[in-house]
Amino acid sequence: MTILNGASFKRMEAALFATEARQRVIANNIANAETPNFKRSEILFEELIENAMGVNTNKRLEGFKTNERHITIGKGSLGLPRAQIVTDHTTAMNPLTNNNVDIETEMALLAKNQLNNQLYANQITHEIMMKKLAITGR
Amino acid sequence: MSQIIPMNALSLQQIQAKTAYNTQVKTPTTSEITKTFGQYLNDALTTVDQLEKTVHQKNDLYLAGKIDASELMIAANEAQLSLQLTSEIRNKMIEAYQEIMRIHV
Amino acid sequence: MKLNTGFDISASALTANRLRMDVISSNIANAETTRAKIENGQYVPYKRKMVVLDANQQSFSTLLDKSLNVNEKTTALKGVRVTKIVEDTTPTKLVYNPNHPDANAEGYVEMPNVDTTVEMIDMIAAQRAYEANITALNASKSIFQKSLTIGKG
Repeated sequence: MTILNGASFKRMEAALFATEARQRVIANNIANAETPNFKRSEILFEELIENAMGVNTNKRLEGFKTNERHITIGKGSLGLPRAQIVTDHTTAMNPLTNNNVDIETEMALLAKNQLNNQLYANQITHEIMMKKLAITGR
Repeated sequence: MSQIIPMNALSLQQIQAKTAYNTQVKTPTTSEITKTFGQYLNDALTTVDQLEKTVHQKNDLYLAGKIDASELMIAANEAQLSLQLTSEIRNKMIEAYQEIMRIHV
Repeated sequence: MKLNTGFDISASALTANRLRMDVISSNIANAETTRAKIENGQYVPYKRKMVVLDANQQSFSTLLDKSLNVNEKTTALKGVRVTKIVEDTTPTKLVYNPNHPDANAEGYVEMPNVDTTVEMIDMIAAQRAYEANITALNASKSIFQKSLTIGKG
């Protein structure tokens, strides 16, 4: 019997995994800061949650359906978005090497990611502590 | 108009009415006390459940970027403390009950 | 107010200041360059470059909101961005030096309109701005770290 299977817990778990994946992507970006023709990538997860929630927006993004019987994307309950890795093809600052990696941006993202990682781990620990408290009574 | 009524002037019916009134205000029985504690525990657990749901909502809001990390930490601590309190009260009650049951009659 | 946008805003300012520093370095290095490029078959001297800063921040969520035509009632916190690098239009200096290979008929050489003193001052300003933004970013980070310790100990 699975105990840790609430919807909110699964989302936190997915967020934690996304931070770990993002760490690898940022490390890759920093390592290739001088490589010619390299375009930076990033992991999108929190933005997908924000989009799925549709908080404070008048319209929400809905997937385009070719047939009415298809499952709607983006509408309905929050669900569990999957983290996506996207490549950022914006123009580079440095026209010689055609490389759009910016060290300051990567460092800031690294710091933010690290702190988010700690926070999500804290929240998951909290869930586990609550379950443990309920089971053992102490 | 108040007047001091001497005892021998009261009729029997009046005395019966007075004693009937006095017996209405009686101390609650043991079964009634335990029922109210059960109700209290029920309410406390409902509160804990509510707090935990709040934590889940705030988790999602944080992922969407609408609230701050400190709010999340405070909500999580509140839920944990309330569950701990309810749990400790229940444990103390059970210990008290067991202590009473061990009394040799 | 989302605190972790503080990271993005400081990072955008760091990038802008580093680019500003690069432009200043280019100006100082080319303070005496009389043959920067060929225009109409003639050499023209180096023209001083400047950056144009704009308060703007492009992120996925702002682009998403724009595409959904959401009315932003509250002003969003913005970072800074370099929109373009333009040339300074102040006229070039004419220095009398008849032995110079680029001297014109009257013996004057057209020198770039770069004033090294002004560039040094700009450089100090860019450096201080960079340091200030680093401090701001560190402050954002410690605030976040401190809020993670709520309830512990």
